[in-house]
Amino acid sequence: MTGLTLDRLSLRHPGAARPALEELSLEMAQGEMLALLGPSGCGKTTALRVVAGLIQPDSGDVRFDGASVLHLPPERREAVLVFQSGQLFAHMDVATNVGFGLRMQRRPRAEIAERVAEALDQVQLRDLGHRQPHELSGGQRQRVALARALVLKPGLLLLDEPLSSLDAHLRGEMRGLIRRLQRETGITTLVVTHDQEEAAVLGDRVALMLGGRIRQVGAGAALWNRPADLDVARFFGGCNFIPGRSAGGRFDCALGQLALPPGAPEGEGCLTLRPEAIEPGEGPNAVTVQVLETRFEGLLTRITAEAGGLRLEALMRAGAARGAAPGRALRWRLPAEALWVLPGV
Amino acid sequence: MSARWRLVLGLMLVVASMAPLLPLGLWSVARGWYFPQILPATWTLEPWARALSPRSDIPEAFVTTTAIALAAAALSLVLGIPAGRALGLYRFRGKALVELALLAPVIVPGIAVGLGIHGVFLRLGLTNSALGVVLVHLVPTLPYVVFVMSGVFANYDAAAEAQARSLGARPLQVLWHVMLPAIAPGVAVAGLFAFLVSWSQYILTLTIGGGRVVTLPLLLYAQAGAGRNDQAGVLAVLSLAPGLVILALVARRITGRGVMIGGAG
Repeated sequence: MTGLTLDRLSLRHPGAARPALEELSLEMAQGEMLALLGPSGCGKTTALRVVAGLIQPDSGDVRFDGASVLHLPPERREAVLVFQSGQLFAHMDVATNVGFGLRMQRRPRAEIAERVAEALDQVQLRDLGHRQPHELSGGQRQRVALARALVLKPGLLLLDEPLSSLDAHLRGEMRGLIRRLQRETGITTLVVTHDQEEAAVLGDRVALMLGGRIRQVGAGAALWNRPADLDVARFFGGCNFIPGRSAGGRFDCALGQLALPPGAPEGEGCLTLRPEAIEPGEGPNAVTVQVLETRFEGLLTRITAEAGGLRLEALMRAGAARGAAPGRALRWRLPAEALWVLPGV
Repeated sequence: MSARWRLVLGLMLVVASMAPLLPLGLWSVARGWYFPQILPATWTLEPWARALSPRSDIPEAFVTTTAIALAAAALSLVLGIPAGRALGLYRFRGKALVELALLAPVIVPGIAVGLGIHGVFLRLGLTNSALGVVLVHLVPTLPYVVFVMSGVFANYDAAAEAQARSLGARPLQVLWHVMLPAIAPGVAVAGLFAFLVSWSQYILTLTIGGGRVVTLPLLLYAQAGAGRNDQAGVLAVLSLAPGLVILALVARRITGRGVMIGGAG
């Protein structure tokens, strides 16, 4: 178990217009599982490769348990990176693949065999040791790649989009396996993903990365419901932004005076609430809206409405959305506990 | 296409490509074979006995040719694998120019190359030596190796090497345990090409070796020029030997199903 510190990492790829990493800082406690979430191209895979030692940053520091590892080549770092595609060596069978790292350390043959069997057991592939990589399914390949890393008992496990190459039904299974193995082994794990749901399920904490920096770190729910700024809110699908002024637990805006939850920041700001938090009907913070458009999105229906010159979007289940037709006036409740003020926006 | 047709066509191909070589083989076991005889009047192993006798220079030339071809193949692999890797994996300024320059030795006649290099080698003291011949053989062998290897590396995923490093492999271990196994089939093909190309060199060996370095093609031309059909026949058969042996060994791998040149899954 290794604690990880990223200290103001900066990196610009040659010829790139924008830096891949910009003063990126992040702390991970020993034994923690953190999901590094961000859209594609935000630099999260680059960050992972810097931690693994495959890329050198232009400036900043990477510390394992407080000690800088920047001078160490990848093979001498306590971290093992599992590539997105799994990267099984095509000319080796499953057991030989899993034993690769131990062979590079020149461990005794008996010890390798024993630990490989143990690792294959962990990922429930006990009997597949003699298969060739091309005989495996995508999920099995990913599990072999995981076993190949776990067998080394690394201090820090780095997973690059471990589920992105899998079918939807395999994803849930693999997600459960990764979580369970992380709990059992207690290995500090940094997992990179572009999928919000995956980040929330896998990470003890979620770190959102946008444009080469960490924008917000916290429990998954905090990032959804208490975004630090507009970009974070937008990334998580926030679409309701109401400018106004917060004072004494109330928010003055085009919709009138709305009650805020306790502890909301004071002053000029922007009120945000998630579209799925809006409820139909009367109650505190109820407003009259004019429906503009409805769109069926499977489980939920997205309703766009207008109130006080502002656009509001709500996501409702089929039952709650009944009666919402373009042109009709409805009463919507904006629950105080779902409101969140972004100060100074 | 039915299996029978395929067999017939295959046999026709073999016959068509082997037929011109048949008289050479016959010359080497004939005594007096004159027009209009279809086959030699008398059969004999005497040309072979003479060719392999201690007084003959053919055995020594055979050893020299083999050694030079092995050295040229090995050297062109050592130089050609990194070059092919660079051409196959990376994009860089002037890459098209480099690729064109690599083709040049194939386009420019060997005699021109040989005479040009002769002056340089003379100054370096490399003429009339086997080392000089090995080096000049790189001119035709290296492009083959670089082209084969750049094709191999174009299908090669270098991320496998990064993965190996992260799993604890040092750079040399990565080379040995990850890269070489993945490119091995391509290396074999490139090495065989290089060996055969060097094996059949005449002009370059003659100009740089200055007649001191005697290889089979030199003897073959000499004997054929002197009208010694029996010895020329023996030499021709010997010259064909490695090509045929290699073909027999690798035909299945080169033409058969599941060829994995480059194949890093």
